Amino acid sequence: MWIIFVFLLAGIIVGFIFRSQTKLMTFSAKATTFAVFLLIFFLGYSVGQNDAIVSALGELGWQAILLSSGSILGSLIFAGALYFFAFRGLHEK
Amino acid sequence: MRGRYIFSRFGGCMKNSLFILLIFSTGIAAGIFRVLPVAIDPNTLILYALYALLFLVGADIGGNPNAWKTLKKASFAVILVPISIVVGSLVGAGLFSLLLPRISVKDAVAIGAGFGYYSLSSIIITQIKGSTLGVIALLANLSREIITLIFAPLFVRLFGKLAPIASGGATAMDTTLPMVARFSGKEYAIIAFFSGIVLTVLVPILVPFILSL
Repeated sequence: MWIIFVFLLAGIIVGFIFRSQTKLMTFSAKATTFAVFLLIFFLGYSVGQNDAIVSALGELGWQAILLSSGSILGSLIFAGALYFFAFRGLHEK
Repeated sequence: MRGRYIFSRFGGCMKNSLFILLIFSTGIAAGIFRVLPVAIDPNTLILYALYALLFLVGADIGGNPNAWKTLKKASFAVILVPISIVVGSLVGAGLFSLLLPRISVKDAVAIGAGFGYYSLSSIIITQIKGSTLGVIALLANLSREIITLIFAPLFVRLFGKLAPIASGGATAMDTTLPMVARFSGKEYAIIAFFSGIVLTVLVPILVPFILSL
C-alpha cells in the first residue's frame, strides 16, 4: 500500500504550491465531497453484491458500534488524564 | 468527510453523517439488485476514488495556510493531545475486540486507527482485508462521528474539555469542530484543529502499517 503515501504526499505538495489559488482550493473541496459520495456508494454497492455480508449486516453493525465505543472510551480516558494534569485551570480565568 | 467544509455550509452536522449512511444504504440496495452492468467493477472504481481522495485530502492540508501555522505553533502539551488520542483509540479498540470472538485484536486496532475518518479508513481496510472488515470499519468510524456529535456535552462534563477533541478524532478539524468550540470553548478549537490534522495524516499511514504487522 505504498501507493497511498505517494498520492497523499503528491496532494500535499501540489496543495502547498497552489495554496494561494482560492478558486482551485474551493474546487478541490467540492471534488473531495464528490469523491467521498462515490466512494461510499460503491462501497455500499460491493457490499450489496455480497449476499454473505448483507445477511450479516445487523451483526456487523453491532460489532462496529462496540469497537467505536472502545476507541472513544479509550481516547476519552487518555485525553481526560492529559487534561487533568496539563490543561485544567489553564484557560479558565 | 473531507469536503466536510462544503458540507458544513448546509448546516446541521448530524444531517451530514446521516446523509452518508443514506448514500451507503442506497449503494447496498443498488448492489443487491445489481443495477450496474456486470462490466463495471465497483472495486476498481473504489480504488480510483481512493486515489483521488488521498490526493485531494493532501491538497486540502497542503493548501491550508492555517494548517501550517497551527502545526508550527504547537506547544508540548498540545502535541500530547493527538498522541493521547492515538494511544487511547488503539488500546480501547483492541480491548473491546476481546468481546468479539470473530474479530482479531490486530483488525480491531486497525479499525480504531481510523480515528473517525470513515471514508479513507474503510476503503484502505477493504483493499487490504476485504469487504466484511471494510463495512465494520465504515460503520465503526461513522458512528464515532455521530456519537461525538450527540454526546459532546456529556463527555466534557465527565472527562474535561479535551473530551470532544478526543472522541471526534480526525473529525475534530471539521465536522465535530463546532461541538468543541461550543462545549469546550473557543481556545480549544485551535487544539482541536491541530489534533484533527495530525490524526488525519496518521490514518493512511497507521492503518496499513498495523495490518501489515
